Amino acid sequence: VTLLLRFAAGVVLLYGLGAGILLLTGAWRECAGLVRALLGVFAGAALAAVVLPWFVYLGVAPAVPLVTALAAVSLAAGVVVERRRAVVERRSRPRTFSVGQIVWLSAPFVVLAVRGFAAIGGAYDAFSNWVLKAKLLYFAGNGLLDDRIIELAFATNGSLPVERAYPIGLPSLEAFVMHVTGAPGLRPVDLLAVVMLAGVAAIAVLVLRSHVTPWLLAGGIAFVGWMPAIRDQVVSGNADVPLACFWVSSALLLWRHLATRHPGELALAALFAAAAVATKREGAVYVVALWGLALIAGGGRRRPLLAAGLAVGVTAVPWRVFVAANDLRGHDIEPSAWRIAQHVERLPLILRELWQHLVDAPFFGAVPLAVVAAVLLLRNPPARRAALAYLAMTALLLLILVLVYVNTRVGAAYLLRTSLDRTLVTPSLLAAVLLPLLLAYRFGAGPSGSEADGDGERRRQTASQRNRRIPIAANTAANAARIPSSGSAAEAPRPRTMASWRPSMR
Amino acid sequence: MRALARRRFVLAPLVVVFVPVLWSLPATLRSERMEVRTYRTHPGAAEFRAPFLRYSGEWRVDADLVRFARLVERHVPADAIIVVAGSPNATWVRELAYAVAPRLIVTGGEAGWSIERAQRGAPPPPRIDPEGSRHVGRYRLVRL
Repeated sequence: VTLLLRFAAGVVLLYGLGAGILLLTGAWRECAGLVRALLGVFAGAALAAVVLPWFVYLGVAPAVPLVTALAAVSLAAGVVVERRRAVVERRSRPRTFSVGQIVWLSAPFVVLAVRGFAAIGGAYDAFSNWVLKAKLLYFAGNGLLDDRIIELAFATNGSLPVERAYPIGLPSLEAFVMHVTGAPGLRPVDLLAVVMLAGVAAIAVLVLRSHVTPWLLAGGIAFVGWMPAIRDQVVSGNADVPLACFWVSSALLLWRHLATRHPGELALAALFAAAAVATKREGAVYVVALWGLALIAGGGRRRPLLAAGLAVGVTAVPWRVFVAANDLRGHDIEPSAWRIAQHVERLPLILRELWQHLVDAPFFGAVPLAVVAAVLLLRNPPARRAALAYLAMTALLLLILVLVYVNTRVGAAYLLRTSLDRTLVTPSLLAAVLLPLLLAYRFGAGPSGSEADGDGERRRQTASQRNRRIPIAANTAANAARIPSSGSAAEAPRPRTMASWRPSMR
Repeated sequence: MRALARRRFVLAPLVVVFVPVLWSLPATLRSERMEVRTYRTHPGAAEFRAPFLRYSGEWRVDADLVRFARLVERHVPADAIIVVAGSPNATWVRELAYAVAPRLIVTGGEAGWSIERAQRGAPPPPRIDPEGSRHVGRYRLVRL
């Protein structure tokens, strides 16, 4: 009970950190209740993963006083900015879910939290790398003055050959949770991972609720929560679930930004992208792929996207400087053209293993299902861009994974056998989160207009419509062609379902 | 007919997202209940907060290693360096390194303490150890 209470205190501190971000970006007004709470905690965790390593490099431990001070600064800045913002009319926000739907979609997370608390699992990589580093950062005390601990926390435990070049965003965040709970073990780490997965669910609700019926959305979130492969990884202590959560959240928010052009959404997307970069090295490659696709799909006005991408890159500078200064190199994987040429004969094995895992029961076949739904949508012109965006993103993710396995310095068969369960979490989470949207487009299962009715005619207008003063009722087809988001385009023939753009976001 | 077709279009996406969940739910809950129950039967491992439990066909806990790690925690100071005679990639070495952190586990060089693991089936160490070492099962801690 004490551990749970202390963990709750840590969550409150992360919420303080994230609430400031929500206020700064304007996302605070976009959500309420549990969605706002989860989004706040998740944004706080992302900010902590980005910022805490900077302090660790400076010799300050990621402990409670530091996070409290950061939360105070973040909240103060958020409140100041929010007060200066123009007052918008208060709208009655309709209830998104019924009680039955809330029970259905929250059940997997509650059961998972009980599992994480009661059965402490932990995979090999967790106790030999991620949680080990967090534990060492925790034991380092109030200042990392002990050189031996610094070396260990950044590199490995003595002469054990663990990857030394990994970023330390996640261990720093986990060390903070250990400080709060006073428990240097996997239990608080597992609970934190459950909170992160619930944070992705909150973002999915925020982004998809105006495109998908409540039951389909609740079913989609339960689909994510009950997926055995993701559940096993959540309580494994590995970094793959946090990486997937941060990256998928960034992708969803960036997708929404392309429709609304709201800078707050771009800022939040950049924050989650930076957290993905601070979590794992693959995160940097995934983020480059995501930003590249957004720049291609986004049409004009690329400058804000470029600026956000640059900001994400800047957050990784301390880590890269540390890696360069200490001449750290990858132990298992190191990209090189020579290695690709040498290992190209491994491709059939890699592709076969990838396919077998993707269609395997623990992943619910989420990626193949979403790909089939997207391919069927290619014949539907209004939804074609959404389908193409999803297919391109999935293809890039899988291509990156193939390149990783081709570039391995250890045996590909061994690495595939021991790591595919976790590396496929990111494409599977993306597929599972977007599956309700793709199905809604395919089967016309958008909401029946209840949300749109509650917010009035103005909410049914898109940003581009209002900017160009085009009457919505007379121009749905033209609007579908103009708006960069495929989501808005897909719903153009059904204007009553187009309720995702709120006045406060402009 | 048209109403039937419309209903089918509403139900089809729900079937896609609900069926895999409902199909796998009993097995998922059964497996997780077994995991929790297994951990309850090994309070030492749970208390120690180390990931000694792992799945490889059957649930196994190296109870000796758990007890030995607790012994190391009791007798070896937190800033000590311990040399381990074993492969650095061996899972038991990794588990021990995690469990006894921040004590530093190294596989060579200067150290104040040493840990060894006897071969399976080797004769047990003498009851009164002349070197003053401590042991649990196959694991042995020696002050150098």
